[in-house]
Amino acid sequence: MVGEEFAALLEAARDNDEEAFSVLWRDANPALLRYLRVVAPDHAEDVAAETWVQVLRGLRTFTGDESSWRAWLFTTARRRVLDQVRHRNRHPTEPLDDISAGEVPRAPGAEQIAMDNIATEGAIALVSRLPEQQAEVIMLRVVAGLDTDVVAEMLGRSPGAVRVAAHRGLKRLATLLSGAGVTL
Amino acid sequence: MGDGFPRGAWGDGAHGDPGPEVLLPAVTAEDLLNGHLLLVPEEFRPLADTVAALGGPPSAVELREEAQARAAFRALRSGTLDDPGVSSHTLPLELRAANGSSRSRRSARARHRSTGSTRPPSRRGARLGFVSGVAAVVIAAVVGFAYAGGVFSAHVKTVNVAASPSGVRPSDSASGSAGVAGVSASPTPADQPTPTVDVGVGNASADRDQALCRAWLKNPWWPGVKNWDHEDFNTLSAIAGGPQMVLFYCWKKLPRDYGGTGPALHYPPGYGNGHWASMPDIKPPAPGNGPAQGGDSGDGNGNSGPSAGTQGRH
Repeated sequence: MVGEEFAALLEAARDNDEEAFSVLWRDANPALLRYLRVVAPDHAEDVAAETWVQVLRGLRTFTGDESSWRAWLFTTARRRVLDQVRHRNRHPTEPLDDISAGEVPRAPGAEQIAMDNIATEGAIALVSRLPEQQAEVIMLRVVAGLDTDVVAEMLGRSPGAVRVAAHRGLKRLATLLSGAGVTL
Repeated sequence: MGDGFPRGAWGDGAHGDPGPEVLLPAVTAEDLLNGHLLLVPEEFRPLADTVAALGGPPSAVELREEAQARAAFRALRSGTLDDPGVSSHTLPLELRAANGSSRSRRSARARHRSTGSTRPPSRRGARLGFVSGVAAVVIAAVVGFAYAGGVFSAHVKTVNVAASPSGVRPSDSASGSAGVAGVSASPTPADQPTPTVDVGVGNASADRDQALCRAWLKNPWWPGVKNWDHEDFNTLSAIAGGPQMVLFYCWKKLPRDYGGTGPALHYPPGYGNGHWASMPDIKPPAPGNGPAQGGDSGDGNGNSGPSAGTQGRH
């Protein structure tokens, strides 16, 4: 979270200050990517890029504090995910069976990911094993830093339902950790 | 064992549980969700660590797209980034910005048209041919109606014209003015005064009309100059509705197989070489000045002067 400097950074970004925007991006993009890796694991980076373009287009008209900023960012991302799902349902993609290994774009390997942040990746992988709605609620609450009411509004659910889903997801997460031999 | 949470679409606890459920107090859950990890009991430390890892420091992978984000920022600030609906991860934003500046507001259809690509030639030609055909039909119909209307109006004028018997001549007042002068100064067909000659009707009249027409066509042209009496021409002119209507009147009166000569031969040169519609305002030629003298004596009113001012007057 940016904290007290958020308002100044946002104002500077509105005034075409690229550095200010970069600070906001560096603060929010990791959380955005982690959230997207749970809800759209195959297209997380694509959706993130589209989300930022969308956010940039509305940056001049956005008003609010950092909590609102994050809510707007993740709401935009979630809508992009839904758009991606609809688009891919209408236009199924062909598997890349006939593309040689040399033509496949290089992605960071597991080793690099492990070296960068093995704990975070492990935690994301663990949350991804939860039911979809529970995992999304936990990611929005924990990673995005949104409170229950905001998440409930995003998901179109009641705050009580969101709270229940979050608790249930945490309990299941604890159970998964216990089953994996991690002592609770 | 139930946990008190309502069951529904968000999971009922049967999603691949690897072992017995862990009892997680609601307070602890809220502390975990709110980031109060220090308040979490020690027994839930692995869970707290996992939650803490979710919000851990960013990795290099998560920040590697910063250059693209900055490029998008610059492009949008300069007004060259205007398509948010397309995936921008694999497509460099700089490329889109470079291509979108001058053509961004134009649709793909407009660009396609501007390159000169049009509809298939065969379809365009067919449409052009169809339009040309319709236009030709319309023009022909209009001309036909106009022509028929002119003839019809002239014919209507002649309907009320009673032809005088063979020996009867229309009076001077009936012909509009005295003698040939009234004929030569006659207005257009629409302005022609309708003769009110009191004559008989019937087959005899029709025969007389045909005889007049035959005589006029046999000895075409102007009374008193050629060998045809000008009073007969006046009679025929009065019946037809004017001298310029004589030819059409006779054309309608005579059988279709009548082997007459062309209309150009039936009027003197001063009458537009036979074009009755362009009747000039001229005087009839003087007797003896015509191209083929017939020994006629003229109209006797001194009005048989040169036509078109090229021939001498009395």
